Amino acid sequence: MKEINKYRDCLCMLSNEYKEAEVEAEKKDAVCVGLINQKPGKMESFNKTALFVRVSGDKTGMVYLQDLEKDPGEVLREAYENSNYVTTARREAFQKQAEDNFCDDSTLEHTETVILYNKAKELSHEVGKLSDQFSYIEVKLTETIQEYGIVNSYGVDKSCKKKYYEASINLTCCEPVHRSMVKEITKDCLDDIRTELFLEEIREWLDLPVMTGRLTKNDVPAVLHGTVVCNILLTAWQMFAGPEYLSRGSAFSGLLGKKIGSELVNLVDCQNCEGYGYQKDFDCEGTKTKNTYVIKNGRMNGLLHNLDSAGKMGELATGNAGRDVNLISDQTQIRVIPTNFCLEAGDKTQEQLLSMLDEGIYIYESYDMFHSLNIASGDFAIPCKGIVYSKGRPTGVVEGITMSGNMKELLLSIEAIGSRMDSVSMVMSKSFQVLAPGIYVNNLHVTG
Amino acid sequence: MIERNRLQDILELARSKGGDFSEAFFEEQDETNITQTNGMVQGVKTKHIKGVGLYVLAGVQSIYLYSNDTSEASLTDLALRASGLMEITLKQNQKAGTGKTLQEVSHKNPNTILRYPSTVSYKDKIRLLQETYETTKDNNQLLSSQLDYFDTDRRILIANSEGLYTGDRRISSRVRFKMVTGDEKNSFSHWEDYTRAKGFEAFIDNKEYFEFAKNLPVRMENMRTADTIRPGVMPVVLAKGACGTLWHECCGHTLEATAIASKQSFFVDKIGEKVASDKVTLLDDGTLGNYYGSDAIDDEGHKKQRNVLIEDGVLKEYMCDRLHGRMIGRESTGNGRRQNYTFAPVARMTNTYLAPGKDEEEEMIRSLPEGLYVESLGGGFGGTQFSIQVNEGYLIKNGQIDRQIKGIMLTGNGLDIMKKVDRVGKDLGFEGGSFCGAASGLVPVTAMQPMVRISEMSVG
Repeated sequence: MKEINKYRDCLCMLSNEYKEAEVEAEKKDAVCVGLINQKPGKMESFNKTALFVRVSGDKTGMVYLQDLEKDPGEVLREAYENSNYVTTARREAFQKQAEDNFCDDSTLEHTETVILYNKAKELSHEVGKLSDQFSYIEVKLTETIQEYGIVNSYGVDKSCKKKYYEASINLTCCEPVHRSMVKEITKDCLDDIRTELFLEEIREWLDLPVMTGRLTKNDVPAVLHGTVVCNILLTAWQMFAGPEYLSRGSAFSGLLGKKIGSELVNLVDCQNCEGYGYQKDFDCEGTKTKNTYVIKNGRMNGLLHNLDSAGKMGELATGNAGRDVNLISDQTQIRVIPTNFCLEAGDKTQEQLLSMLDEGIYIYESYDMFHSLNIASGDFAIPCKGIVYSKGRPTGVVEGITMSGNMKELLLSIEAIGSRMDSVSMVMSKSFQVLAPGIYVNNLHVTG
Repeated sequence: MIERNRLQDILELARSKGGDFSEAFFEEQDETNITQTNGMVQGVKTKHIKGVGLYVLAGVQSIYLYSNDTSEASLTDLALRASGLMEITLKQNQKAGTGKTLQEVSHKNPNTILRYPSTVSYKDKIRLLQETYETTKDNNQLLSSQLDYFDTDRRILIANSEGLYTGDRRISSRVRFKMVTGDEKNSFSHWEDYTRAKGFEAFIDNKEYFEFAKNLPVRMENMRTADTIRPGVMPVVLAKGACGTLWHECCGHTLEATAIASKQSFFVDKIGEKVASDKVTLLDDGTLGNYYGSDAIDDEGHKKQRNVLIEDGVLKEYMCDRLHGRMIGRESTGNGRRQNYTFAPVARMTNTYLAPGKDEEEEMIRSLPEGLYVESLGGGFGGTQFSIQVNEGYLIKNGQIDRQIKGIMLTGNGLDIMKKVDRVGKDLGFEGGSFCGAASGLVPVTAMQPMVRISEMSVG
């Protein structure tokens, strides 16, 4: 990567005070086209490169910068001086495995913007045809070329380029009742952004009953829509992060190897799989990525690790070192982050899942994914909307309700898993996504 | 920094294929972060953000471009990209009028800074964390403690085709407390920020800050060991000060022009109509001195202003940025905000508060046979349906505050809740500030209220 080229010489000839040094670069170049109510809407285009520089003397200091004109020697010096104030017992972990170095010098070009625009226009048009009830239709299609590289004084020298697409549809209906939905997908190929991926769920959403129902029981079997499961996973994945596990900050701390879910449950972080929009060849510490099962057939199988947490547990890093962990995390801290955190699909269609509900509730929408789950205790209280089922038939919509319980109970209570995957990207940073199908649970506490 | 006349040329170029407005937003930000874990300094990090955003409007169509390269060549490239995008989407290539000559305007930032972070040594910042840890470490239930010190020095410059050339400097200081308390069997993780729109003086000889630190693990243990209740509908009394989050979530977001333009609000076409109890007068004021949501200007260069949103229950105004204001036919209200140059500005809250009323605080609880008293709220979610986490809540029994309860959320429909406000106290209280996350990133806000009573609310 040309953005880190000028640091190479400095890294080869480190000052004696510096025991190790590393420069990581992340670059994004993107075009986003948008339509609002079938007309040109919000367009975006950007290119941004950020450098993360770490230098260790006896300890490790760090500098984050976006000003690429700064003198590399001065930046390394600033990071080193920061290290002088650190009082922990040891330096941060650096990647020392240089045998899988590679330089991705492929050329990735942006698609002509008019092609992207026409694709978004077609999507908007097809959605618009579904109903005359829409009062707002916003379609966005983004093409991103992401390039990242890492160079350090141990000879690690890697770079990689990826191109991916994110499409989202934001809908509002004012009649017969006011309601909104968002559907988003990410893909690594523009041709895979297909209209039908959106239409099935939008049709289902339009067909949801609107008459008001009443909650008569609080502990009932339930079907959770895939996006509801995704919203839980957006926070719950942290319960499988090595640092949280080690600090007893996860309700699953100490349960590695134990049964924590029903046998149907397989939770995996897929980091480098064809088809997904988000992919990584190596993480921000330079560790090669892999797919890691954190739950396999209901048993806690593994953890997501960076070099530090893996080292402390005597395990190998899983390539999950990252920064944009949640809404409030600081970019300068290396933590653990998933890429495509996924509840593996089962074999039930949406209709089959709902047909399992005799007396129960279908939770089709939830909100506030970031304040409603405590990862240390596993307790959750999630605001949501649902449809009450009685004698196998929907009887009405209940809003302003809360589903509550504990993650340990929820995972054990899963009796069927759907075959259609939904996905939700991390809000704002778009640094990872979670994917999940709908699930049937034998008991859920619902109030409101 | 690019010369002013060249900047003017670039603003013209960006509009050249039919834009009626263009703006350049330059930003430089320095931030220090010191992380202390269980009394040891774990990391010292410095962060330097620098970049430029270029914004072009053609009616209600918008194009936003940004780069971390602020050179003239990069800006020219962005302007060309903008005109290229405009060409694709505008059916007819409209002729842009000539922009006005840039004229410098300055406004005073209402936040007074005594000790700029850059003038304070790392040793002093680390000493602060050490003294903070000393006040908490003897708590037997504290399993782990992470303290993060942050200070931010943000400088922005805005120039636009209407001739505006203005800037602002924004300083803030914050300590984030992330702690785990409990015992071998059950632990509880929680974080809170102590935030001020001040320099390092925010912490010096500040008894309130150290009391906050000392009390946090105690409060967390009370939260962990509190009782649970069967959820239901009940009267809710919310303490003065930071419980103003209620207003931020239950109606603040739906009063933003972004929600109005996308029809995702119950306030669409309701200006002049009664939307809340007579006791509700709601304001958003970005001019308050030393408040986290205050600045000299918004992120589009408008002077910050005091906006009365609801007066005696009647809807008066929405919060508008330039683009979404255009979409709904209204002027900007100085609410165009963004986390940094990587976001286009949208309408966001600043310091949102419920105006004081005339009711007695003590009577609000005394007159209730049963209900919920909320001492502090956590984060929440806004929209037509809102939800807010209750950090510290107590049952009210026979007019008295009873035992503490945990694991509850306040949920409801904002329009419904606003009509059920039956008491508003006389004293507004204060909030240090927090972040609000939405379409233009995390922006600093405060939300305050006097003690308030809602006659009926869903406690889940």
